[in-house]
Amino acid sequence: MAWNEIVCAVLLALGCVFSLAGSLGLLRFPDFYARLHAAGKTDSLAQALIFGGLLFVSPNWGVSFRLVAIALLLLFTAPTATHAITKAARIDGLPPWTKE
Amino acid sequence: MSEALGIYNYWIYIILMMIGFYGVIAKMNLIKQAIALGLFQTGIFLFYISMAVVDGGTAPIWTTVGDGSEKFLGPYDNPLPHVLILTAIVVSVSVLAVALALIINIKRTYGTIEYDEIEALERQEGGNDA
Amino acid sequence: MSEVLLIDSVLLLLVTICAVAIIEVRSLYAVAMLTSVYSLLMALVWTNMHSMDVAFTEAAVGGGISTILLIGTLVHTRRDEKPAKRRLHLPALLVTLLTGGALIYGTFDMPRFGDPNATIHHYRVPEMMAQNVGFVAEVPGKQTPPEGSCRRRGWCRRSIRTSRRASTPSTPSTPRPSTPSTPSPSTPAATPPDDFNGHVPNSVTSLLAAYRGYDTMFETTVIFTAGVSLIMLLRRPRRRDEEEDAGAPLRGQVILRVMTKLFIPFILVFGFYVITHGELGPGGGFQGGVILATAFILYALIYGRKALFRILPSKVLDVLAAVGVLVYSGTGFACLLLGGKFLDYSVLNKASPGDGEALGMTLVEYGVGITVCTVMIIIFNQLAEEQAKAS
Repeated sequence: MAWNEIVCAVLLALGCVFSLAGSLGLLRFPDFYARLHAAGKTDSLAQALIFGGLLFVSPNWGVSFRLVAIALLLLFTAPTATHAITKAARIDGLPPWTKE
Repeated sequence: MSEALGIYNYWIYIILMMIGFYGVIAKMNLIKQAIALGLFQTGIFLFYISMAVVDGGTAPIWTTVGDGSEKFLGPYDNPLPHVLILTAIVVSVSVLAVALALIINIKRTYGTIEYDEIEALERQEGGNDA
Repeated sequence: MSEVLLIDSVLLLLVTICAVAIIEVRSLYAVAMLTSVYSLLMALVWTNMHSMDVAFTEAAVGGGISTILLIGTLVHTRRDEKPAKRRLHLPALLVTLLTGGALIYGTFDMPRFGDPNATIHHYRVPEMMAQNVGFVAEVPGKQTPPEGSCRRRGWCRRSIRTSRRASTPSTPSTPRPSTPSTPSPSTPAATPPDDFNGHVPNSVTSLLAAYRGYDTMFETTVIFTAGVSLIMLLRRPRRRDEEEDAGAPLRGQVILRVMTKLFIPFILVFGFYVITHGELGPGGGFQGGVILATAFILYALIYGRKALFRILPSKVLDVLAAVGVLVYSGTGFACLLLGGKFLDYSVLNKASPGDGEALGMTLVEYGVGITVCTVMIIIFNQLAEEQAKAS
């Protein structure tokens, strides 16, 4: 196994761990805002790790460029979408969860 | 095992189609019916695309390896079902749009989009006329 | 067991669960979201089965446009389905079980999943691919067979034979090029017959625009008809002042406004890339048109439909939808005028028929793209107009 494949595998595994943590948070957190927080934050990091890992095994520059472009796109759009959803919930009047 | 899995795909397409079919018959909400029709269509799409798969095949884009000295990547999936389904998906969204427009008109006329309520209203009107 | 089946079985399980949820959940907003999830899962299934163009279309259409249309309708119908009197509709269940049973009985005769010897891969397909290229010999107007075209024809037969051989367990390890009876596939003559001398490597596009050119033309007409029906069903005579207050822009949403402004150019460039690149890789008029439409719909959602009307008045949209169909059929007529047959693109460039084919396909894809894009915007506009009146 070449060194770049090992790096790729490690980064992919890390990305999966973060993704899994996000999913767990989505299921376990108490209210809408906290759940969205868990999903949004972890996914941004997870996708960066996964695309970074794939970057190490990309066969040529074209594929590398595409991977970076997709990662950047997600890095910009995913937080924007999270923000839009949260704002919509706030305007709709969903109260945040408090510890009584 | 492999034989059983060999027709697994076809079973899933039937299950999806039947879920959609059940929705079309059993659900009274017209929007739900339109969506169920979409599920039925997706079942058929799955059937077509499943038929196109060849063992060890790749996407049907003739790719050359290296300096273009025409070495092909080996068996390709059958592109013809892909073409059929590609256009069918776009047509299905047009069908959905027309259905939704009709539903909006129904809502405008009857004030409801539940099939049984519309039927009741119709019967009432017919009774008033007679 | 192939890896395709392994991933497939997991994905299809998720898809089935999703389908049951779509039917059973009563909140219609949740249903709209679930259909979006369902479409994205389906896009993964198509990708897994190497059907990139279909996956592309499904993600753009199912995940994007139809969700917007559903939500646009829900705004002025109702949010929830009326609770049913009975949980299970027994006659419907009986009918579906009977039909499903009959269909499942039919699957036992189906060829195994991925079987290279299945009829669909052999019956007429090789001839079809050879025809599609345009060097059917002795047909006037068609490209003259290039040197070694008999060997090209041989490619089809050889590909079947090799795939058959690969599937038979007796000689599984025989490497293809080393068999003496057939010429090695690595010889220059072994181009697939429908890549137009390397101009159109994506066989899905070449089948779409050349072999099934008539069909695609009328599919485009179907979409155009859908746009016309939407206008007929929902557009009402409009006073001048009404267009003025069509849809208020989102105020105070700085992040959304900035991100939209930032991304719309990229979405547009990507849409045009997908249309233009259709014959080289996954993509084409249908997908690219939908992507272009999402850019405009996004603009209308954030900045209000008044801003959209300023750049694309609804009269221009109506005309453009027809222009797309006209570009498609016009390309066909141009081929007629140049002495070929309807939609026989090889006559567009007499010197290099392969280039002509690629040019014709690009033109046709642009026609499809224009129609799809404008019809999607028209549909969105009509549904949103309804919404503005309801509120």
